[in-house]
Amino acid sequence: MKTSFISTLSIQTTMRNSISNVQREMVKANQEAVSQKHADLGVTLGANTSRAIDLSRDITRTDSLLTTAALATQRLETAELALKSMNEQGLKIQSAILTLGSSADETSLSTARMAMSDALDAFTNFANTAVQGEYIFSGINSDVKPLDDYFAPGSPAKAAVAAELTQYLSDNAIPSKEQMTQAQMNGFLDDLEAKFNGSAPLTSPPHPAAVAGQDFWKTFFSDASDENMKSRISPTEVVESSTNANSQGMRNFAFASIISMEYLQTGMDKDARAAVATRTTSVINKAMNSEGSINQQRTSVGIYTERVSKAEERLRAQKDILTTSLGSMENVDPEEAATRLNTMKTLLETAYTVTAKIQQLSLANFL
Amino acid sequence: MSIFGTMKTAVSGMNAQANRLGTVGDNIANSSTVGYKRSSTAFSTLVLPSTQGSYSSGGVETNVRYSIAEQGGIQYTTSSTDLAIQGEGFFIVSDPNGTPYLTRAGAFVKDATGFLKNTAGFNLMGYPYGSNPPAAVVNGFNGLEEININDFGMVSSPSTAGSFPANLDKGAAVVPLANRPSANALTGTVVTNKSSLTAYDHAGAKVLYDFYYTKATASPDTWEVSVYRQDQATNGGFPYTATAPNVLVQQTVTLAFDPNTNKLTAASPKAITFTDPNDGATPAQSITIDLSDMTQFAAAFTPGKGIIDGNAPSPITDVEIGGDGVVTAVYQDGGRRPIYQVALATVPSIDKLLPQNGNAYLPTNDSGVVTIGFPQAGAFGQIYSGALESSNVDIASELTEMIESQRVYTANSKVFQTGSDLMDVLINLKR
Amino acid sequence: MSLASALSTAQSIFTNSGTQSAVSAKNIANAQNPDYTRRSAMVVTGGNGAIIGDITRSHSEPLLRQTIASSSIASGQRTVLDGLQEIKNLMGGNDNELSPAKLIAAFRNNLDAFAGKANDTGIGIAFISSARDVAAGLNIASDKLQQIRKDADDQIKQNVTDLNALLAKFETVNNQVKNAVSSGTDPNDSLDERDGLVKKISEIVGVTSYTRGGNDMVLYTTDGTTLFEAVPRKVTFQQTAAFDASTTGSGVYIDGVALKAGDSGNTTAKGSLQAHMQIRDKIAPTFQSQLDEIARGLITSFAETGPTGALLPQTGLFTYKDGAGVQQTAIPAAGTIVPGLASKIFVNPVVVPPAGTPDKVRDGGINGAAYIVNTGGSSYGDLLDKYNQNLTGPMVFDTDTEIADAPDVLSFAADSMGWLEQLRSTATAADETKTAMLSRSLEAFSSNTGVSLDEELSLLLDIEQSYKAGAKLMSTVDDMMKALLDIAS
Repeated sequence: MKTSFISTLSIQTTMRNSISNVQREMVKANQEAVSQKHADLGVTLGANTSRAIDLSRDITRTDSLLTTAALATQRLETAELALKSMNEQGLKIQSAILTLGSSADETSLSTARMAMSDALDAFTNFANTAVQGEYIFSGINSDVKPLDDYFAPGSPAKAAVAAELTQYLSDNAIPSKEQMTQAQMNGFLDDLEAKFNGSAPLTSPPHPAAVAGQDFWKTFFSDASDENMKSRISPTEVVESSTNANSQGMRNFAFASIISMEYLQTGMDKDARAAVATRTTSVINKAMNSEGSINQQRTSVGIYTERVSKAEERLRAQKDILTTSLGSMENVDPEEAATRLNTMKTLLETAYTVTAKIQQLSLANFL
Repeated sequence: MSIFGTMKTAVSGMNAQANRLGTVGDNIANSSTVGYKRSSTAFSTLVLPSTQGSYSSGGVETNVRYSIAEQGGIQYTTSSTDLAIQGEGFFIVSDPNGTPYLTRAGAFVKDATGFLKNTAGFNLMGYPYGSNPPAAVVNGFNGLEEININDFGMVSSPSTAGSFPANLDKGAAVVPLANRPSANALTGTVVTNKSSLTAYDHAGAKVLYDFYYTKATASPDTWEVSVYRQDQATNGGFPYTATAPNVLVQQTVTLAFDPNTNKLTAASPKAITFTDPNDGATPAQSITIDLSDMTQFAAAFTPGKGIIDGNAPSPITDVEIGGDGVVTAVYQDGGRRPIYQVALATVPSIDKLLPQNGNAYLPTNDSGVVTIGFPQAGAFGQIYSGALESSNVDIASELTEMIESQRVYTANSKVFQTGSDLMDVLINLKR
Repeated sequence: MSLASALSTAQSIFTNSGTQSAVSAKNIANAQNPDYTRRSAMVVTGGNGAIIGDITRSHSEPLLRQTIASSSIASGQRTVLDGLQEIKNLMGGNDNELSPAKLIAAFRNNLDAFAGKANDTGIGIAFISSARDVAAGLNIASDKLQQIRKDADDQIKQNVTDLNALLAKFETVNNQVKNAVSSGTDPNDSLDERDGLVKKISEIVGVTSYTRGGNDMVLYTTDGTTLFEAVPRKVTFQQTAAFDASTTGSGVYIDGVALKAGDSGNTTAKGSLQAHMQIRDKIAPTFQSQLDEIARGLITSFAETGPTGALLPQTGLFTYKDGAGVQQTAIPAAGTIVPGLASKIFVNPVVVPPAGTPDKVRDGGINGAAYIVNTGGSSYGDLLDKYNQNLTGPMVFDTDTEIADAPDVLSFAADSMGWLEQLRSTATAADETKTAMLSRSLEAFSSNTGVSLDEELSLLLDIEQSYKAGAKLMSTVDDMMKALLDIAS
């Protein structure tokens, strides 16, 4: 028969268990107070772990999209700067042709030619602008300089233009370019313009048979790709983050500057010269303001820049929301954890005291 | 009347007291002897014819009496073969020549040959226990045997009956005929529930039987119970096979349950009986397992307390003697079997038994005829196992008797001395 | 009544006090033994004085049952939780930094960066390196997961060996009990040992016990299979030498009946055996199938289809080996698990520097010139962007993964972690409950059957008193005898 309803072992085990329970809880509370996150996120979140992972993945994604967007902004702003400068060069050509194009004295004409060659030189430099190892007017072929230097010795572009002229002269039995009539000059310029803007393909002769049928501009002037670089600026939105040197504006700019530079010479027939000046004026206007012109390129670059900056704003807002919701899932209130830690400490002290007191209680001490 | 006569009387008185002192001495000497019964003396007068005016002193005659009927105290010991009787019975023991004696000295110990021998060397006798309790031969020692435990080294009894209560899950899936364990097919057998029971064959070997429970139909609620011998399974499963001369043990019954009570219906079989001739015994072993306590509630399969009789051969580890004198052999595996019943004897006049060496007694004409019976019946009394009857001597009363005897002896010697003195006076008259 | 009988009565007092203090001493000695049940010597009036009738145990069958039941439940739950914890450890710490979900997220950020600046070889190399991290992460997780299955299998083998040994010991002890009961000797030590064995057995497999005549105990598993009845039933198990994703572990058979594995996070397993089987046969294989589907999702997302998208899809950035170790180009069938794919996925060597180049991912053409998409230039990011979109594109998963409702491979990877943590969370909560229940029932059991030192000490005082009284009685009788003998001399 047993008369008591508690055994010595059970008293001791119970006290030991309660102490170890409190200690375990304390370790957890301590960890939470320090890390400000749940001690074991998986256990706390359970199936919501997948949401937490989705959220944190979306946050880092947003970060990487923001990086991409920053890269795009840099490209676009540089392109904008270059295009603006090209526009200024275009204006210079306009004013030079207006003031000097109709004069017949060598000084004025040479000044005009000088202005043209300066403009072409500056234009080439701007088109070859590079940012972080990328030529921004190369399209996706960003490793390669988009425009050949017309003034470089042995420039294939210059040779090609000369070859076109030679061919025209021989085709029309004109002894030299000085003897070209206004009509002949206009005919030649029509041909050449068609070659430049890509509406007529290369022919052989005068060019090698290998390139026959190809685009004059892309063969001799530009190494740029028609396809622009693209950047993903949001999970759903991709923008073009560059432009390229194959636009009509670029072609026309080069055409206008080259013809006035090459053919506004005193030795030329006066009427033919006038035709050149007229053509230069009209083409440079096209280069700046018509379909595919430099200013149009500027506009679309501006639009892209705006979209990128709006997307950046959206991404930042989104990131804030995501971070907040992730925080509300994972974080613990540090004050709460600290308070819990304190409570545990008090509990543990009480448990120690009680254990020590009970351990001292034994009938053996009184016998 | 004569002085000599007086002296003779004193001598007889002294002799009587010497006798008395003798019994006291014996009693004190045997005060710790198990089953010792004290002796005492009783005196009676011897009268010589006297005339008016003349007294002839007679003498005293001594009668020795034994307080055999007086119960001694029971002392507990730690040996289970120590026996004590409370009552009027005596153990029947035999000496090495086979002569039966009666005794109360129950300090029996198993000797090398298996006999239960007491301190004085007598072997305990009893009736052998067959399949039925023995009947005592009332007025003789016929049929008694010396109890020998070693004769019962290995025994076994084949299983014949058992019971197995269980709850079968009402919601269990119904299994088509071909897939039930009763089909004993090579493949496709669905085991819903299974349990196994250990039975013993005639040789005492443990044989496991597998019981399969399979729901046969849902409406009405019927269950198939199939039994197989486990060692005939193929790699622990179906089919169960046996090659000649072995015989496949296979039996199936279909239990029907009453949906109201969830117990077996009145018409349902209540047991499964199967025969297993594989141990070669004739008639073949037949085992009946009672299934009447099967229930079918909507709860998981819950086996209850499965019971089956029979036991395996195992040596005797111990014997146990009950209050009714039944000597039970306890086997190593915990099995028990009654092997003898200790008989007790008594006589009408117990105190008239003739004491023999070793606390043994023989019946005499005075004591009357021996009656034999079993403990806890009639006046035979009860046997305590693990106890001994101590001697019924009381030292204190023996000592008082001794003092008394001493005084009386002294008084007698005074009478003798006085007679002698008177004779001296008489002889000196002549001088 | 004579003086002698008074003396023998006094003697019985000493015998009884001796036995009682021996019992008390044994109780005190075993005060810290959780398997010990308190004994008490019951004194009854005998033929002459008093005798110790019986030494009884303060046994409580219902509490023992409850203890056994809760110990098997707690042991099962603990084992499942440990297994889940082990799997979770494969996925890294609190932030799951080694999980496929996190590795893929990092990989995807590199993909974003590469797509944004496609001509940058440095970024390309970083991208390939993170792709290799993903493949290696899947390989390691898959291999370790199979190691966990193998460990569980070893544990099952160990458990079965232990169980058989315990059952053999149980038979011996059960026979001792039967013997002691039938021969009337003290069975208590054997009973304690037997109860202790039942407790140990119940940690391995849930048991219910019945006591037949002669205190013969019968054990059934909680499923109703006979575990011990007169003789132990055979528990058999065939160990598997090595595990891969398509290996099925062999079953545990008790008395020819297959033991069922546990189920769900708040496991139905009773005892560690069922729990180990649950880890080996349910949790780990399901998680493996999820890893395999993640691998398949990656391979499919990066499949090459050529410039027009019309060519036969072939493995791109991620490819895999077949059983013979030969690199494959075929895309695995949609919506179907390929067992072990997670351990066979790797990054195509033609894109890994220095031998290969990341540009093949950007431009296409891993599977030959026909599959080249970009010829324009090095800043081409469309194809990379397409792959990126594929990662969040709709995909069908095998329903055996239990998370087949995930819309895309990224969500699927996250859901896989959610699935694991859900199980672990449930298991942790259940473990707390079940452990508390176990300690409660152990406490109640110990309180009812254990030794209270104070009680023993107060009983010892009782014994001392009666011993002193006996001694007094004896010396009185002795004085009386002495007086008598003085007269006689």
